[in-house]
Amino acid sequence: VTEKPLVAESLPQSALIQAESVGEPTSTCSSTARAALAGGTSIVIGILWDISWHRTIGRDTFWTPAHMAIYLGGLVAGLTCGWLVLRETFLSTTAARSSVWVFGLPGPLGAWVTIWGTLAMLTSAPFDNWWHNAYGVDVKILSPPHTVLALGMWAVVLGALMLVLREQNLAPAGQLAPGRFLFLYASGLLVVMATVFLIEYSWPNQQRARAFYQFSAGILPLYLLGLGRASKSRWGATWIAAAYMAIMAVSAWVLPLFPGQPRLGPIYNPVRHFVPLPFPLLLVVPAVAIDLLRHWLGHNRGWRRDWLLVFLVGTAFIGLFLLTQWYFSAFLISPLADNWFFAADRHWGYRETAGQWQHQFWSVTRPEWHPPLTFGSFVMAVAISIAASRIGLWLGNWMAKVQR
Amino acid sequence: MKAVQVNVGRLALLLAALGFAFGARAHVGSPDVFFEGQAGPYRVHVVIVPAEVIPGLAEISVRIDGGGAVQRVSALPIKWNAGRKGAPPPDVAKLVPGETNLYSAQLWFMESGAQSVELEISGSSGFGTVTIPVDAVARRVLAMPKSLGLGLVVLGLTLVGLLLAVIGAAVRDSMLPPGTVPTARRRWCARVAMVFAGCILACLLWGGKRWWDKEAAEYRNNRLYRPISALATVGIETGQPVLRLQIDDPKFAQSPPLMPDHGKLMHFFLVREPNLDAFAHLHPLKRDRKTFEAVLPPLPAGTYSFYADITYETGLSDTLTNAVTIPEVAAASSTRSDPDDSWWVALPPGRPSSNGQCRLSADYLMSLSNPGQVPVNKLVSLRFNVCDDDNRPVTLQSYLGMRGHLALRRQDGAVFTHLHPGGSASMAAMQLATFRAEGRLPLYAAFGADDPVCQLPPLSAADQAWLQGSPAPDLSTVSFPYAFPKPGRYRFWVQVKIKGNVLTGVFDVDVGAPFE
Repeated sequence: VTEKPLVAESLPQSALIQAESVGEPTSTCSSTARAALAGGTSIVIGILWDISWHRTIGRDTFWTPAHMAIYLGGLVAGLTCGWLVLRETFLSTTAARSSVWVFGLPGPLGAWVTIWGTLAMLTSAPFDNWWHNAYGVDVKILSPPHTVLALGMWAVVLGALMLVLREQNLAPAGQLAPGRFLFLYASGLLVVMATVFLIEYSWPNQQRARAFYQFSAGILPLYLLGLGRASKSRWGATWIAAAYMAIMAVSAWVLPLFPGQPRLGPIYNPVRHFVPLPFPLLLVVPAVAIDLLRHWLGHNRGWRRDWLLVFLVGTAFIGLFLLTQWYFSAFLISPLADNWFFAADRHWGYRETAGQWQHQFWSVTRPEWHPPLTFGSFVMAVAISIAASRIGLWLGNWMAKVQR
Repeated sequence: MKAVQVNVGRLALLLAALGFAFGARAHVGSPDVFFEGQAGPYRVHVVIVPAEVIPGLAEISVRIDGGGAVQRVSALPIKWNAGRKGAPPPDVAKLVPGETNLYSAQLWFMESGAQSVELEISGSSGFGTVTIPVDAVARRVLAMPKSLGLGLVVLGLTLVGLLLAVIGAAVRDSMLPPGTVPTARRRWCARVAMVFAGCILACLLWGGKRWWDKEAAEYRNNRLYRPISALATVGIETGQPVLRLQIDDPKFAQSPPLMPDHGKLMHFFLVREPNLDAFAHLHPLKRDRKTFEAVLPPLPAGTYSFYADITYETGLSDTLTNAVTIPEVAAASSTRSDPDDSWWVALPPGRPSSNGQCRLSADYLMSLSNPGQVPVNKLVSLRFNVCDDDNRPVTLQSYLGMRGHLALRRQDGAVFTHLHPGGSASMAAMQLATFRAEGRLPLYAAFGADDPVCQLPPLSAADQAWLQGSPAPDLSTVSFPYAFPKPGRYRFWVQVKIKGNVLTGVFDVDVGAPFE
């Protein structure tokens, strides 16, 4: 079955792809894709800032700078994508040919995903406000309204990534794909968001616990293999992991440079600077293995090879991740990491009383709350990692073909 | 990510207070804290409306009388186990527009338990400070307003519909080269994908609902205030009727030790139902960790509601309440468990007072000063005066360290509280909060002992003066600050000590209507 041309065969190919800047022989992305990605960047900066704000200052209002960064990012990306849909609907005669159709309106797939994300962010606001009134202002990241907000923010960034991806994939063969670097950067943003959502299970002191490895196995290989596959880079997974690490490391280095003082009590840890999240996971190690396996087995060379790839990637990821984080976390909770680079002595918020517990694995001291990793639970983590790799590869193969 | 909004309506209500008005709940149905006393050279009237959920905002209102020009009023929240060292910078209270001496502030209480508010006032007369205990516990179960629920359902359905449409479009169109249209097969694939995604989404929404229910249950079971359950029975021991209070609630077994308040571990009030025609204020003795006993005074048989007020070592106060049946007792006791036990029985049953006056005994008469209309949610001073039959003022002696004591209950039992001339806070909690803020008391002094009872140092002269209440030289008058949380008929039992005898005056007041 072949797809049918929408317009007359006689229409020149250059006219078919002239809509906005899609497919133009240039190595840069369109301004709309860059604007959407700038919005996504603002969201990620806002998230890291807001978490730091809550752990440093405590008291907040809707109008804190961190909240503004988040909502401004959502608005910039959402309005940009709304404009894309309006332009393709009313101003572009050929736009439909590079758009997907939603409720009868044409627009790039990424634009629709971002619009959905912006709407989800807006929906979460009254829900979250009621939640605070009903159950108290939550002092944790994971709550139902925060999950709606997080899904919205994630969709905004994913939509921006899809806009870049579309332009990357539409590049004529033999030319440098526009947005090939921006795609890696956007993928790094997505991995940052995923790890932030896992932060309640991934503190360095929790990195010998079952939950850390099983949750990480369920998410990280999906991102690294899927986005690495969709990228135009031979070392896609590695670059994405490096982008994630760079963003998190920079936040760990920069935030403590700004003074901050708790405005809520009780204060168990009188911090005097903004508190960052812990040093990033060393994801480049399993990412290099993922890329090496991709080189070795290739893509789309039969379902047998794809399945072999996901088995090997899933196993290699969790094995190397375990090996890396098992020992690196021991370093991070030791006094050796108490310096500006690893920031282990400055990632504790004002509600966290200083004590020996900060230098212990909680799966050892409180196994009832943090069940330790066992052989059986590790086998389960391997299975989860393989399943996540499989889903990631399916999505990556699809993303590599996205043209709208 | 949090959109914290000031409850404007509640704040407006607060500012209307002390001019004075407030919403309320607990001892029972009356959670607001009232304080009248000195902050250094300044006479202050303070109302604290505790946060209804934790973490949440408490609202503080301070009216300052005398002491000269005020330059700055600040309020500091102090958690019992963190002390002043663990407190954030104080919030500066703002002068309420249109007022000359009324200040208001909002304070965040981030953790449940005993907290306190330290007020600091500076002005032309110098510097003054006072620490007022507040119980920070979640008391509110909030239903979602229908309009909000409807709006969220509409938004949620929009999100679900849009998401399914985007997924369908992704499968149908996204991989097509520009200038092509999807085949029928691809359209079918899109429909199948939408159905499949719809099923997954339904599962996720169901999981989200389960998660929400779990969070709500966790709030109800672990964070929402739940009174400790207790059972009272009456038996005859060595010929005397004895009331035994048994507290088998596991929550009480895990609770911190009790603090004596006014020298008593427990203040136990009995109110006869349904006409409130008998009342007793007893001080049961502790028999073991969970059992208290008191010799029962000569009360008529019937069903009584009881209210047992206790204060924990942390400074948190609690009221245990239930019903108890008191049988006919052949021989009433002639002895008391505690010399400060007192009671009142309407003889004959009927209206306890008329024209705002109540006869205490053959020789003494108590009058309630007529404040005119008794409003709801407005701070008033309930002022009582005692004179003899010749209309000469009668000097009130110290009862439980105070010039008088007031228990009040709404007719239907929705509100019960007891008040002191200085306000509603327990004296023990006041002392604990002050000592801990100043670092003069260890946090866990009594933990670890078998059956601990904490003891506090003797009251300072300032504390004693606060307990006595109004500095007015008229020793025949006692007043109590209070704001009625809801309209309705209330009964007051005002207890004073005259020539060694504790006497009880009883008044009925219709709140929301003028005094009779």
